Amino acid sequence: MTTSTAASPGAQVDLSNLSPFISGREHELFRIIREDDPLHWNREPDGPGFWSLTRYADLITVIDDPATYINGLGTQIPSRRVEGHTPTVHNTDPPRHGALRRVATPHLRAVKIREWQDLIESSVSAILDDITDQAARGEVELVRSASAVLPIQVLGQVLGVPAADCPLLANWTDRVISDDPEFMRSPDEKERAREELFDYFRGLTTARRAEPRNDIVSKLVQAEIDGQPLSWEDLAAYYFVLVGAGNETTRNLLTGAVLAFAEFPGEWERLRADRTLLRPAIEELLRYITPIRAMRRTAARDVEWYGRTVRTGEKVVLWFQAANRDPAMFEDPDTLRVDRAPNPHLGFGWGIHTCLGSHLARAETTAFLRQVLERDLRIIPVAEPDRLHTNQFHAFKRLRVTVQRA
Amino acid sequence: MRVSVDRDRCVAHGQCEYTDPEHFSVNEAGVLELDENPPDSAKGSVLAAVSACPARALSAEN
Repeated sequence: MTTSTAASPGAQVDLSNLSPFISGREHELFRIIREDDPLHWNREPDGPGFWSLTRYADLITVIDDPATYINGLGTQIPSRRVEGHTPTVHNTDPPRHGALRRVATPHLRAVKIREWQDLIESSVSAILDDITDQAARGEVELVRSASAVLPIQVLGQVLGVPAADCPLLANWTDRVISDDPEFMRSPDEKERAREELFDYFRGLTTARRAEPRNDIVSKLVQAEIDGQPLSWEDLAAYYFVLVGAGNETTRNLLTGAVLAFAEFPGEWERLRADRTLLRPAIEELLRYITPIRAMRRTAARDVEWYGRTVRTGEKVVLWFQAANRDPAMFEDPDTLRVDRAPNPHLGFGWGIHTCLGSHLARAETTAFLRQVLERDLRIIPVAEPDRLHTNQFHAFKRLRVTVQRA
Repeated sequence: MRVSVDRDRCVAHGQCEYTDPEHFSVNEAGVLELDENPPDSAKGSVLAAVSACPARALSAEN
């Protein structure tokens, strides 16, 4: 890298420092580097450093070139793969990636998700009953009572995990997804959570092999790639990514939606007046919130860019959250507009690694907001949220709210 | 209009099906089934579906 811009404001920005993310001031930093330092070098206290991209068009350039910018060396910002040793589908490159992906995609299509619609609706209904009851006695903690509950219940059913075991899914996710000290009780916490998850799913795999049902675990154990069943390592990696991604995403879209509508109450009024806006509103929430702030690639060859050289093996971080607020792409990007269209947001990422669970996330969030509208509830934050200590996920640990009938 | 799919690129994300389920459908094996000659009256939704493909596997021509 060159040092010609070392004194510029953009070069000073440190995206490995978590405090702006914890206090919700990350967009101030994204704005600076998007304008001033579009290919931003960031030192890492415990790693080799990474490049950051924040302009929408630059992210697309990288995403459209999976041969140059690969996933196989990890997608978390730290130099590790969150699943441990066996690569998950999102940490796999073509041609293997496509074969692995096709194993699950048919079962997570929009039309498939409709088979789970009744479950989603009844889960939302029970959650709204519960928070309305709680609200009669005082404040409600939204994440524990609603946002985290819906994805777990739905995910459990989709995977084939009995309802009683669903809290385990959330517990494993909390422990592997970030380094937030609240969940790190020991130095080997992630490894222990992974082992617990794998042990649990080893049992479920055996059960579904013997007696398949209409769930994803049954589909995965019956699946073949080139005539061969998936190995235990492949299955384990799949379970791992489905649990983590099914959990740590939609819950933050739901909590983030409550926060976004508190910030833009007029947009909630527009939804109340016209429910056909629900569909574009979900896409706008994905853009505005961006539950996955970033994903990482690794350069597979040297690339000249902005007068610098990204060298083979260097990490390149795609900041979806920054690109989703790029004024070159989105008019008035810091404003929530429920009728924004077209809305080519990167809230599910983009390219061959686009979110596998996008249709499930949309269905859950749509059902939640539609039922809140039908009951004409107002869910109002009464304090700042507690944010997860991570720069990669736009995640909320707690949000205190009141729930009232409008 | 004519719509075609690059089978090597398509990994069955189903974003086209979500955008325009009348002309795009992913089957049980993860293979896209599409109306390759949709009527011009459907042009708006078909083009939206083509541009919704994150893998850029779809193309359309008049």
